[in-house]
Amino acid sequence: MLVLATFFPVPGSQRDAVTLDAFQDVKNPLTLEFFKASIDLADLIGMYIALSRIPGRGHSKCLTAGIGWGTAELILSRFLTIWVGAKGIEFNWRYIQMSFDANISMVQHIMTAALVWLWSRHDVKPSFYPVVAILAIIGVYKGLLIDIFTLASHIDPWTSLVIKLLITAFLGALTIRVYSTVA
Amino acid sequence: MWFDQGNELFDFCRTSFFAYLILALPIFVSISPTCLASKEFSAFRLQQFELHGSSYGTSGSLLNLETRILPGSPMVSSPRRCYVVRLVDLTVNMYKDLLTAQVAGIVIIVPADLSSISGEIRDQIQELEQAMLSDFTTVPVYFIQETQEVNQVYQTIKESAESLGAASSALQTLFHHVHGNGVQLVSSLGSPKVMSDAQILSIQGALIGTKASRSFPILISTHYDSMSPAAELSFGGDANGSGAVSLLELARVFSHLYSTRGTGAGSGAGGSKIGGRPPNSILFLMSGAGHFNYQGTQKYLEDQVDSSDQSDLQDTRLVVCLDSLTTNPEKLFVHVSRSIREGTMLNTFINNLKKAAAHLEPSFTVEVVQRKIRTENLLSWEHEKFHLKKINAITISSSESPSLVKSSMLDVKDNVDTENLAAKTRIVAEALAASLYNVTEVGTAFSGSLGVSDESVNSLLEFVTSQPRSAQLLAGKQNKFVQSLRNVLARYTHETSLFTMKPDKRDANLVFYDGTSGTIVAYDVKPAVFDLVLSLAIASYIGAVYLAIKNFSLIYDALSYKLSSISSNHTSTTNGTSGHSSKVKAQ
Repeated sequence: MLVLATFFPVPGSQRDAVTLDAFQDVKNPLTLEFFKASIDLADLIGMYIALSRIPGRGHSKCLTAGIGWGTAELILSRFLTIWVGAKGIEFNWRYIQMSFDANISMVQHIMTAALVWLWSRHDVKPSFYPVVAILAIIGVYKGLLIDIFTLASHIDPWTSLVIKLLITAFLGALTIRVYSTVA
Repeated sequence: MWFDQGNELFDFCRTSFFAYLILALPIFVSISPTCLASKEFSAFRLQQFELHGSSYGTSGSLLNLETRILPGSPMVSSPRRCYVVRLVDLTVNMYKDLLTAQVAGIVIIVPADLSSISGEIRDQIQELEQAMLSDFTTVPVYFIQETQEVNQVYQTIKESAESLGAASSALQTLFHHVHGNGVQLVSSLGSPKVMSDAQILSIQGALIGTKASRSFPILISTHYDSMSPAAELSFGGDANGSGAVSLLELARVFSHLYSTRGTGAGSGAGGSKIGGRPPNSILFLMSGAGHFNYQGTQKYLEDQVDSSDQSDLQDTRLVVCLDSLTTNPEKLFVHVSRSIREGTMLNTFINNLKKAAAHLEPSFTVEVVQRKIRTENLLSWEHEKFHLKKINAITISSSESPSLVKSSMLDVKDNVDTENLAAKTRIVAEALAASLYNVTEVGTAFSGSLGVSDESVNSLLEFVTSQPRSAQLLAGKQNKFVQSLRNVLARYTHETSLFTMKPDKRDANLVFYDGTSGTIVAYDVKPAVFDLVLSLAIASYIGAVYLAIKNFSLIYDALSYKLSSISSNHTSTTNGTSGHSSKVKAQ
């Protein structure tokens, strides 16, 4: 399962590269970033496929897919940086922050897995579908929004981390509420 | 059976997983590369050389240490402490204390503008430099030039030192340890090696007189190298840039006299009695490694005097060495090793020198200083080398004794007063001309554009002080600077030749070591206590996360309570919810 999940971000990152080329003429970096984040929507489909292939009950499906996905993302994006960077003689808070960030994104990934799983269910109340969709989309664009906010208001990385934590916790709580209706 | 074995293997793997982790982690850690440096400075190591079998300078080059700062922090005899100090703050006593305390390293910050230092601090620095060069130590000593980044690092160290020094309670100290920043300096230099292919080059240029045999030549000698604790920072304006410039200027001026053929043409002569090509030849010698007991001169003498076929020099009546001409602006000292007899050319020359000084610059004084040679191993003036070979020689210098200025990095180009140097060169030129033509009227030989000019002296000085001339740096086989020096001399003289001294492999008088410069990298580091505190914090965080996952059902119930109560009204799935939470708990 882990391996299965591991392979999904790879096409995603390739598509990232393609998008970079395709949108080279896009002058506004914000737009470019928006498109790049939108590519992550494809991850939702990937997550859906992953979930459909994992046998077992709901919660184990979600946990496996979420943790697997999160681990894969960690290895592909942060692992090398932390490994190389934190080994240096100089101490830098950046790597501690990065580790916290990884923890937060793990929660986010489990949340996404749960949301996608909920979407695939048929016994969710129809009124909850929009909530699930909105939560999933917010989850996708959350990183971008927080980054923009951080850049725009010049807040330090710690505050930005706390904001990220709070938002993720809030979204997570909402997800659990929806999840608890069906599980 | 196979299945059982498989199970056993699996069990083994599972139980010994942590053992593997312990085995694998150090490997991971060791193969991971270190991060790039935040700040890099070029650093110059204190000179290291051996002269006549005894070592001078430092043999240390390794530096990988946390730093303290001086003055301010207590001196601790610790093999893990490196001290950073500004050159202007360092005194000889402090330096000696550091060496006796066997600290792990000294890094000295050299001010960017050396020429502005004056007064007591200047004396103090020069005294310190002498102490550094006369001592031998294994403590690595580095010089770095002051830049913005260096100042930043210095401030960081200073702040941490201040916060530590003043802290009274143990708790406060601990807090500062955790909170404060340290700086770790790492030098890139390996252990210094002997420069086995070092050679010392001496250049001789000759202006050939009218006499068929080159009898009674006059030798003008100076050494062109410079010296300071840091090889790359020794520009040697006064010692002995001034001597080299003066010699080149003399060569230029006299080349006019020697360019005329026959007698009476007088193209280079302003005075009535002086004209035509003089009968005597003039030899110009620019010797290397003068700061190392005149090794270049030594080699030249061995080649010239001891060999039987070249006897030019044995007939010489006059050897004039030029050294540090601008230390005292209004004084010229003539250093001799024994009393001068009446009637010799040497005597005439000194008299002419006095007359020329009186005629050209009445405020200048010329004094004769007689001084016996103390030891052969440490001569104070260049003429003593000639004297030891029974050749009459004098040294003209503006310092009364072998001065402190001679090997200082403060001795940059701005240290030299060009006009003063030109005036002194003019005096020497006039005295020399009068001695050559044996006339009594002194001081009118050169005039106008044919004489010593300030511009020419200035441009020569600029050329000579354009790069550090430490003997180590010029010891290469085809050194560019020595080549161009020879070219300049060749322009003014009829022939030039190069004398090469290669140190004897087995019994070397002079041994140079490489590794004069490298880079020092400054890392911002946290003290060890900080690591401990951080580890504890991370452990408690992980513990908190573990507890949160372990008791996730509580969070789950708290969050889903309302909803489940609402939904229980509609679909009665309360049962399922509680069932799920128990499963999460199990995980």
